[in-house]
Amino acid sequence: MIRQYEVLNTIVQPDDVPFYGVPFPGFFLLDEDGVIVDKLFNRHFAHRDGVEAILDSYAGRVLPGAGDPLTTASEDDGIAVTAFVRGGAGVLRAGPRRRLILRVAMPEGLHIYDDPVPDGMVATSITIDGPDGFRNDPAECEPTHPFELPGVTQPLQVWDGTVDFTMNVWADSVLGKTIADGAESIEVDVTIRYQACDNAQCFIPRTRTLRLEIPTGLSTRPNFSRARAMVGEVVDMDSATHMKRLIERQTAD
Amino acid sequence: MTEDEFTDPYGFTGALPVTSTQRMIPTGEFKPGLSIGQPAPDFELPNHLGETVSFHADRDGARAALLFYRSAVW
Repeated sequence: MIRQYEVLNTIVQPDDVPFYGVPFPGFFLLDEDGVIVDKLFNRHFAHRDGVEAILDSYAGRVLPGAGDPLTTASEDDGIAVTAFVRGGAGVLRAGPRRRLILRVAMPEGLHIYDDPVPDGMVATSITIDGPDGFRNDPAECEPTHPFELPGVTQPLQVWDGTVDFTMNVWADSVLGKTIADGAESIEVDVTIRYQACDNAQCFIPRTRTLRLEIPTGLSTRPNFSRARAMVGEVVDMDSATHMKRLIERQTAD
Repeated sequence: MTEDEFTDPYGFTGALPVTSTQRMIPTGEFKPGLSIGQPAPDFELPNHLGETVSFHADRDGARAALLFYRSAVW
């Protein structure tokens, strides 16, 4: 079945018992006719996406859940910026990744820029500042569209309306150890720098920092040394039966 | 981290070297899985109660999500 779906981890070799046969982690979404309508797979075997990612993919949009860590800010330029974390009911655990979404809602007529921009203008940039072991991928966002600014020879690339900048985030083993030692939450600062313009003028560049307080929790891990070392946590679980079955199945071939 | 533990580029520490195939992370193009728009193959597998599940027959026309994990125990 794993081969049928073409998700076999081809790096693990056939003689590598019991690990051969594992898939890359991820998911497919099917419609009523059984046709694949979306999919998402992860390079790292420890990563997996929460049920929220599946629901968001089906819905075609991302909405913050009732318990998701969220903070918002708006200033006199009329642009509202909201940061929230999706996945795991808002709780960060070592291993599974979450999504940090920075949503920028602009009034009609305003836009912000992607690189490249002419000298003197500011392209949108985002930085994440969290505790040791808080990791993030670069931000992904919807495509820009061209915009011609009077006096600028080349079309600029802009976002307008409401745009989401989405970053995969996760706690690595260092932060996993901090969580295991008793940290009940972490603080993460999300900073966006942008310059907004309308059809006639550009405004002063702004920098906004939003602070998220993200609850943390222990991951569930089997109680054998390799898994414990992976995240620095100790959770008692007897996986002997599971591992025995894996080995029996593969050595029986 | 002790001397017999190794940390990969994602920051995960483990007992095996990151060059071991069990821990190696794909680089370059990464597009596993059937493509969007393709029909999902049918399959039969036992569920946690030991009952056989026939995927397409049992979902009975409902939409479905298929999740793949490396292990069910962690």
